[in-house]
Amino acid sequence: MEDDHELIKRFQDGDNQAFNELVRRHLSNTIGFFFNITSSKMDAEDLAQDVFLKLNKYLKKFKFDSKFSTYLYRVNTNTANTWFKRNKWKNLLHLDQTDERGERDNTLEKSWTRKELWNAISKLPKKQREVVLLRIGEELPYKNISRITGISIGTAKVNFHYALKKLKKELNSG
Amino acid sequence: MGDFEKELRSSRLRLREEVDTEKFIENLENRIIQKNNRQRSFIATSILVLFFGLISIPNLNKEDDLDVFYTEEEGNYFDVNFWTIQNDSMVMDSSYFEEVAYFLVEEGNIWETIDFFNKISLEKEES
Repeated sequence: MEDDHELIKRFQDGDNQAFNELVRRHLSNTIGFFFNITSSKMDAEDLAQDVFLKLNKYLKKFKFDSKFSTYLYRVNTNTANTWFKRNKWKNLLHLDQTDERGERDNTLEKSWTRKELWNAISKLPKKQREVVLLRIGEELPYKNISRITGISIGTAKVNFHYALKKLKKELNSG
Repeated sequence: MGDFEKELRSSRLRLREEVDTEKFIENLENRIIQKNNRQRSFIATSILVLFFGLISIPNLNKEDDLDVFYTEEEGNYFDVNFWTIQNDSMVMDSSYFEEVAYFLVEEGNIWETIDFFNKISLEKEES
């Protein structure tokens, strides 16, 4: 089985099937990443389309200096940031009608809903939000988060610490 | 890991439904084609605009060599004092009076001819 870099090389040589293979390989993870944020399968698929559309353009200039999965996470977090920005206005105008479909991993008693959680996450500064997305959403180790976001491991830890503090304050006050 | 972090992680949603990968790829391919077409038409339009822009540059500093259809003699228009004008625009000279007189005589209207001459002489006296 070819690895991601080999597929990208083939795509750079003009083989579009190699790109489709790359999509097949990473689609469910990408949609899962966005489903966790949006709680909507349709929105998640739309965002995943945006991601792969961007990749179709940018992979032609991919320099193979990082793993494809790292690169993909970077594109995912950037796309999520854009979505958060867009959604801020949607929330202000009360246009957000996403329901709480999907299942929870376990059933801890909480004083807040998922919607409140993601509203609070959307209010975090960009770097803190990115770290939370990858740490909570994807359960990635700090080492990987550091690679994806381009900050040091220490900075990632500090960002996560402050993000949790803010989220706790925001969720408990609401 | 703190309790709050555990709480946050436990709220993670997992997509349990199957995603139709082939349909997704088909939609993606359509979007890529549309995007490429848009890009191509944008480039073609830009080239056309640039081309017409470039060929019109030499004409920007060129003087107009259009035919002039207006009179350059302004004196007649500006010298007339329209407030003190006495007559109609029609200039009545002696040849006009003669022609009218001949016409009336030929028509046999002698009295009208006399009346016409009286009017002329009266107008001359008034002016």
